[in-house]
Amino acid sequence: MSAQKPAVPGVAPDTQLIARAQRGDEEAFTALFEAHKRRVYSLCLRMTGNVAEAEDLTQEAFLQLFRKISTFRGESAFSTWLHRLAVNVVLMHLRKKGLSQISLDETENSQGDPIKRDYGGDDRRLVGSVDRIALTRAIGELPPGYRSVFILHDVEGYEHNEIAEIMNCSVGNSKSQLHKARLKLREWFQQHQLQPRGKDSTGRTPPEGREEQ
Amino acid sequence: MIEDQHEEKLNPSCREFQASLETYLEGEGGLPAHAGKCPACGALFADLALIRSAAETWPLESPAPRVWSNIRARLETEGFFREKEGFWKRWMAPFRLFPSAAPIGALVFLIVFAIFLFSPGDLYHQSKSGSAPALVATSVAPATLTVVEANLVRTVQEMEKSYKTREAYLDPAAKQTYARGLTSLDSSIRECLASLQAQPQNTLARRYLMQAYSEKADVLASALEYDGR
Amino acid sequence: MSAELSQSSGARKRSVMRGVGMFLLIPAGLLIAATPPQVEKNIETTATPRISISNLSGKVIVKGWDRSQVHVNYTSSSPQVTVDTEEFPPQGPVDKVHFTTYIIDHSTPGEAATVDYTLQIPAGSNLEIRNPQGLVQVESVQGDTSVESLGGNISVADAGGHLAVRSVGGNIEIIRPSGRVEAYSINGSLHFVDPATSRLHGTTTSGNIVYEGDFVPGGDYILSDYSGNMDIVCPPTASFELNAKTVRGKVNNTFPLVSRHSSAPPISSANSLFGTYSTGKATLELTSFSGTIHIRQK
Repeated sequence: MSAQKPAVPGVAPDTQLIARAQRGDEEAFTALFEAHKRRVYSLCLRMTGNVAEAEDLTQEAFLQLFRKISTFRGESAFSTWLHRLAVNVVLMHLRKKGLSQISLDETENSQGDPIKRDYGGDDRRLVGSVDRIALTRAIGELPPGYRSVFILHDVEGYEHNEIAEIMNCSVGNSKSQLHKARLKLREWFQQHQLQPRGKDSTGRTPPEGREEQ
Repeated sequence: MIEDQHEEKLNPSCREFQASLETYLEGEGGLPAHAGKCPACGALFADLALIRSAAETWPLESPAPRVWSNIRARLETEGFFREKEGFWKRWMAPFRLFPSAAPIGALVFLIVFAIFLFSPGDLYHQSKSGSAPALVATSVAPATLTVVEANLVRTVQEMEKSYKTREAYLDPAAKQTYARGLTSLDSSIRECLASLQAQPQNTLARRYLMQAYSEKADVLASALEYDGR
Repeated sequence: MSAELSQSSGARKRSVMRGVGMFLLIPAGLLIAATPPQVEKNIETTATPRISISNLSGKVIVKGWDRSQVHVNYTSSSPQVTVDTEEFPPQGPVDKVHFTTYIIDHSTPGEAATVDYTLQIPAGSNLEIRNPQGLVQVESVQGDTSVESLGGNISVADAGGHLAVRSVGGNIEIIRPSGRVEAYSINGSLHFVDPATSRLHGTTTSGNIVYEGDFVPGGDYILSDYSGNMDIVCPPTASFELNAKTVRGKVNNTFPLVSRHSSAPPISSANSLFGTYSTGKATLELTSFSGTIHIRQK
């Protein structure tokens, strides 16, 4: 997984808070929530694309965590434990909704429209940087299976072997889904963003003030 | 399929490069010269790297305050929070001899409280033999609340505070039903208190009062847990 | 000319036919598109499975039958509302079945998030239903049954096992139960008809209580309300020991009781009645804060 974020100065480390929470200290529960809420909520929001669902899942993840906190013995980093729990909560939710996840016999057509591959043709590049809003929209339009793998790997920093274990698929499948997810995102950005030199995808210069088609 | 036709038209260098694209993006092995020579493959690699970089630096978002309110309310209802210990208790903590007494003590308290709440015939004890009943006055509580009763009242007040923050997020039908239920219970609490003020020894009124608080706690707990079902 | 005329007449007829066809087809198409999603399933089970239904809003109707099978038919009001079915174990006759209603799109308004369930389940099933809004009807289930609603009314008939029914605002009707009964409502009324159980406990705050039927010898019947009225209607062949108490209400009784006089100080402003009718085989404990308790013969 990606490196943990540095501790915020002035905030008690997790181990102290966990010990206090295990003794029923309400402030410790609050502090643990404050320290980890953004990461958990962002994961839930990115995987579901829906604010209300993300809030419910965040609640569920923290409730499960706090209910089990007495069993935490410090074998792994607390944030890793919490994060893994949150991922499981989200995936369980997506499975219950019947949204397609990775299947072992994944074909091109089973995850939405076929991906247009650039085989020695178009040399258009995406402009400058990809902004947060565009990224949110683009990921929101990914099929659920692609979205899950992309978020777990590129956003959350899980390795393919970890993703394979979480999503009950092969490492090869995880890699393949990630690649397809990135190609789909590229296709989306090409359809929705300016080309180099300020021209839109039709090659025309758009009216002043318009940035996207 | 169209992709198959494209793939057939692909030159071997491009095909080889794109087959290993994932590896180059992961930073395993150096980027081959083909990326610099082929505009399409170069653009593809640059774009995917850009997307990956954007994903890695995607800023985090915070949930609405109600998320913690709901979590806190659930934890409180489930008894996760302990009262803050005073200086003396904290100091004495290492000397506690019977740590396991706490759950037993809680159980005894609950049994006593339950007996107090639900025992029939507060003032009258009826003989089963069929003869005239021997009247055995139960312990009549004083006009002021007992410790047990005061704890229940305080718990209900805390739950009501949590409910106030949650109330706005209930669907209208649920909100209306809970509001009506709580109004009825509040009305019965007021009447019971008025009866007890006029007749402090009225154990039936006291029983109704505690029953109303207990039911109010149940309704508030239900409202705090309500998620649509 | 006549050929032209007949051609144009034929063309007109065809266009009229097309118009009629469209007139019929379009509404039919719309009707099919608008028909809410409906699902029907049969699940093979053991003779005494555990069935649970967790709904959001809508009708839930359950009947016991003599087959080891659950037949379920559910209709959702919107494609944004779905039902998840979990069966355990995955293979062989199922021992547990859970039906859970989910909203896929949380922007769906509450009144649109409705699923109506109709089930036939093995009579020996244990049943658990949570249905905040909407009617619940259960019939002929012999296992333990638990029903919870928020505002919906609940009706249970011919239940055999332990029956626990709770509602905040819904009315509760229980007909011919033979197992232990607990019924609670805050604002709803309770109605018991011909109970064949020896343990019955009913409580409501602002609703009324009506009990129609006899009492089982040795049975305990505890009914309590706050401000509503209580009406006990039983046959002249009943036999009970009565403890009826109110704080501000009244007790009206038409049964000839053997009154029991107490020498203890009376509860001031209370109206109470203690006595035995016939041989006092069952125990009735009736309490009301400010309502009127009626005990009368059928």
